[in-house]
Amino acid sequence: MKKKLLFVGLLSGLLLLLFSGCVVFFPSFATLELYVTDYNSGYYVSNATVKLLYNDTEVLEGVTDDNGHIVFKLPTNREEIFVKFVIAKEGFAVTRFNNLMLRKDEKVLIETQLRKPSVGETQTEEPAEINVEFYNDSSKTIELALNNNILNVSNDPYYVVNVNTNEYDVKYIYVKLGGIPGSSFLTSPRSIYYESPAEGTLSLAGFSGLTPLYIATFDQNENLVVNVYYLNIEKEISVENPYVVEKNDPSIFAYTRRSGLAFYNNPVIINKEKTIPQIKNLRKINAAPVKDTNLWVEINWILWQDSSASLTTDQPEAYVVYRSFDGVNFEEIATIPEGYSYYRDKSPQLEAGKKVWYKVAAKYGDYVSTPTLLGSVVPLGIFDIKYLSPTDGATDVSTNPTFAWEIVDPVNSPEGTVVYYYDIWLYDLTLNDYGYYSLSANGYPYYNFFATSSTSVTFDFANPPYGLWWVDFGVGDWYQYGTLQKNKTYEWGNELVVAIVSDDDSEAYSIYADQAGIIDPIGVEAEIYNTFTTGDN
Amino acid sequence: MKKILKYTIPVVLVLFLILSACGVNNLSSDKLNLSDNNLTASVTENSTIKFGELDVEYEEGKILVGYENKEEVDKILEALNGTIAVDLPQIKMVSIKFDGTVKEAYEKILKLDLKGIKYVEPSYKRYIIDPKPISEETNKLIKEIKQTSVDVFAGRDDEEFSKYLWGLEALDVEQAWNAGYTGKGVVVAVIDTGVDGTHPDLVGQVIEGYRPLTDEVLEAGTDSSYGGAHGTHVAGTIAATDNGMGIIGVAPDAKIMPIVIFDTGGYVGDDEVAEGVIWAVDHGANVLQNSWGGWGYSYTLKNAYDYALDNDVVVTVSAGNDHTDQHLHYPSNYPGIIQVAAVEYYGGEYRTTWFSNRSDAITVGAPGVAILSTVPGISSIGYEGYTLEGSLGGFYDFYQGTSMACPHVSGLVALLLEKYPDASPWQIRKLIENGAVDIDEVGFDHSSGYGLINANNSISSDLPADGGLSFDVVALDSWGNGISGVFVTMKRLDGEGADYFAKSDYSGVAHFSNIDAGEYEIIVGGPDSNDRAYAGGYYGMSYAYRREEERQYSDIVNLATDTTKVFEFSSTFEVNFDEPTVDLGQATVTIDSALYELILGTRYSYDAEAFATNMTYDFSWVADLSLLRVERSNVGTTCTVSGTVTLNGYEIPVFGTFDSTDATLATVDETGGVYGPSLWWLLFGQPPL
Repeated sequence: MKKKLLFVGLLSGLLLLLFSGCVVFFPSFATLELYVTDYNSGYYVSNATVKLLYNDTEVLEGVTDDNGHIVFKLPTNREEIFVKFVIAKEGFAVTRFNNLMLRKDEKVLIETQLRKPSVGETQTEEPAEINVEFYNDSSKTIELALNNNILNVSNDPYYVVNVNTNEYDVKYIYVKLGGIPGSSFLTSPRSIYYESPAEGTLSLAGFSGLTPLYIATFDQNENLVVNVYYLNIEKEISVENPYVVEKNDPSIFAYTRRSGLAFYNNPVIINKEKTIPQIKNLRKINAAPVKDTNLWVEINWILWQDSSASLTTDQPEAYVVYRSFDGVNFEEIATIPEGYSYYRDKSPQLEAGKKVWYKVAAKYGDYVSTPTLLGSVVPLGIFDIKYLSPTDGATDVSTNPTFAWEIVDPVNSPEGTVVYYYDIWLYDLTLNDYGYYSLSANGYPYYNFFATSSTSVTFDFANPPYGLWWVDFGVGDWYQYGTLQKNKTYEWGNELVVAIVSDDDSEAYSIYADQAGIIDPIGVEAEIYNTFTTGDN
Repeated sequence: MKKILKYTIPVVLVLFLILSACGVNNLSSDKLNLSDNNLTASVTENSTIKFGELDVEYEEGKILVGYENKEEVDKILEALNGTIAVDLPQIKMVSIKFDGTVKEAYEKILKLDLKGIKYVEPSYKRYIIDPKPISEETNKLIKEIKQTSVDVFAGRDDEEFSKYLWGLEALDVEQAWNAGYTGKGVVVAVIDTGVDGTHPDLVGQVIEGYRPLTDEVLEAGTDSSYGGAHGTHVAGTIAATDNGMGIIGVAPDAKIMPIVIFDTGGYVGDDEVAEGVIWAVDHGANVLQNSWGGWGYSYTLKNAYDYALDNDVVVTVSAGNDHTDQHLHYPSNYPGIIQVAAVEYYGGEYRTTWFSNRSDAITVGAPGVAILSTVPGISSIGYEGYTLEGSLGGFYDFYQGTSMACPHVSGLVALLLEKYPDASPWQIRKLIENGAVDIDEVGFDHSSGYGLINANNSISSDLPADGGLSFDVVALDSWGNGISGVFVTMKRLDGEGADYFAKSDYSGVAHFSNIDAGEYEIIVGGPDSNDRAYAGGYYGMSYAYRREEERQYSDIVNLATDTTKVFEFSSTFEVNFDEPTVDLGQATVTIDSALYELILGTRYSYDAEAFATNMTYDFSWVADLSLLRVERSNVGTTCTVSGTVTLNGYEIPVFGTFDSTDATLATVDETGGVYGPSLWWLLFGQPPL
């Protein structure tokens, strides 16, 4: 397969050279590198076919590897060319990018999605056509002309986006400068619309020079089309005293969550195993650790106005985020307008067990202050829980039951000891209208969770850990007995199971369950309430 | 580490606030004796009425009253200046609306001299299973979107928006239609937010319905979407018309009977739901479609749905959108119903969604993600926005949730009932189970039960003749009286599917309607000394207040036909007294009938024996809610008599107090009779020799 691809690539390159009238014998290359996941922060899509189009003619074709990765090297002697590419796979929707600029001897990295369709098959490779008009302001009296897909601007332009779909109706239209838009959680700031035409003012704050503008649309079958335009932003911003970004510790948080959330689209799912997902040890750990999970890193910094330097430095226009996988070579990955003190990195290049460093700098037009090293984090893998006692469906269970569970496939990290945080809930709701109990510390009956580095937990109902005791939330008081009722059916489970590794500058979370959203920003439901019936002793 | 600490405080605060809020609703302990020994029933020293707890969400201005003597209800009406909102003589319950709080009502009722009132309780709140938002953005949709041209998709009919009706293709429903089954003659009661019967795709489909909140009969073809768009969406999936426009339902010739249980103020209460269910059953509904529910067993809902099942009305209920494998979500976990999980298209690889609840009680899965269906128009009561507008002006939107899966099953039930109009709910369930296509894990699983429903398979199947039955567990004391509040677990010992759970009602019967034949372990306990459900229902209520009063039984049964299994409860009750601090004179020890006093207002003693300190009184033969008393002839002093009750082998220190110099009667229990009925003794007697 590789030989075939190489042959097709060389042949295509040769044809391209011939058609472009070039006479050089050692052409340069423009490189396009793609990572394809099934949703932002999700799992890789392998074996997806990617067609690269130049002048609407297919010039290269390949398939993503086991990591959802593919690299095209396009021979060219032009300084810049505009290409399109289409990603497709049986059982998936279609993703299409139009008007992507590639430059000679440079690499463009695109991290995008190929979603599962929600209502049917997609027949076309052009699910939607996007057209945009730019004006000098919202009055739309003066239209700004694109020149070879490039728009020269110095003030915030006004845009009008028209989308015509070919099979399914429009679901979302996104507009974002400097990055590919998606859910607000992972790609803010960005604009979203639900119908065509979509129009609004585009803020140039934080950007200068040649900057890509991404206009993306999803249709109702999860097909994605992205048009890329390039704004040549001309502005001068002076800076005398740049702000060297201050930070708090920890400022880096790595999230690995068991419940894959597709982020504001048809959610997710996955572990179909009814009680204990059986995830094998040999699974490959990268991007999201397994299918239908999420992995992202959130970094925080101190905004200029909240910093100790706000009186002595100039307010920046934006913040620039840098990332490194070796602690030495950092690459710019995002520009965040002033006012945002966080960035969520959803890159498929993040992997569980792979250390990543971040820096942040203040930006003033073309000037960037000395970056501040926030630190590093090693994202965690995922783990499972095996419930040992009382198991689901158990009968003749002691009225002083032993609650026991253990971690399956424990996570580990070079950054420190893994500490597991748990809670436990006991429900008398199968045969009662409102009876629910959990553990609380002495002093006041409320809800507490507990922490341990042990990968197994065992305790009797009448002897819970760490001086905790049961709270009867139905009556707002301590549970009055040392046993459960005889011959009665109860249910129990963990609504919080999170592994945490902390060091001075970061925390890494692996979230199995977090129903209350204590760590997880969205919440992960409990996997099971084990149903058991007590006996007569 | 810092972050978890950071979050700990808010969590603690939130819980503190929750608990604080509970506290606001609690009555002061001098009015009601709330659970100082973890008992949840609340009664006063001078009242025999059981009051429902006020520490969970309930509706103000309304109480539910269970009665033996309805004339006593008039006293409550007068005291509260209230009116009867719902009157259900079948279950001897009224609900009363009044101006004021439930707490104030309790206080007024406590001052009345009432006889023959079983309980007073608030109207607890329950929740609809909200459709999962497809996105935060979609929830904000109020817009018009350009429509694309009509397209034809195999298995999705030829409606305007057929390309989105993947659920029809997944069900293979066209084959059933082609076989001549479209739901004709079948009525599906949509127990929901009401239905916009003016929607162009529902014109002619919506028949007379009922609005329990106002006791209003809803005219056919009208807009009853008082609680929002949810019910209209559900109705469209079941029975949107076959007119080439918009969409088509699974059973386009079935009729929709709207029953509004989520009204303008939200959930109308268990009493109103019961009224709505009974109304639907009594007015010709063949299917009860329920896309709602919540946590906790309710006697009220259990009995209402038993009424339906026992009248051969099929009940479908959505599993819930919490993901978790559990058995505490109701009404989906009541015996005999069809519990439905949500399946997503997922590129044609049909699978159960993450959010869909799991358990062995899941019957089947059905399409529940990206479901396009009818929603109320802009001028309709329940308008909440839309995504697509049909050429006839009707609005449509994409919802997802087990709420959207359930009506697919209800539509299929309608097709099957057209073919088999006399089929029992069990037979219909079996047709659906047997026809389902396996998805998710191989074989029966907790995600989608028997699999994704398939209309063609089910409609092509013969009606199963054997295997369904109704089973009653009857809890009786040794005198043959029914015992309420007994909890029963039916542990399945063979075959696939759910275990069953129920509690005994006032007659001592725990009813399991339309369940599978097979071998079960019957595990019986109680009556429930922690019975918080009697505060939420009309039938069952446990008179047990002590753990020590609970009894335990179990047995293995092999069920092949309708069966009744009787468990005869027994108990032992022995008393010893210590030397009294003063001379009681000619004193006697009596065991009195509490129920006799409750009903007739006069004392009745089963036995009276001379007081002595050197003997054991054995009252184990008594089967009643009883009072242990000491009666003296010598007066002139206050004094206390202490001793030990040995109840079912458990020794309980007790005492009785002659609390005035002229007192002749002392009630003996753990508190000296202070807490009155809450500490009366529940005895079951001894089996005859």
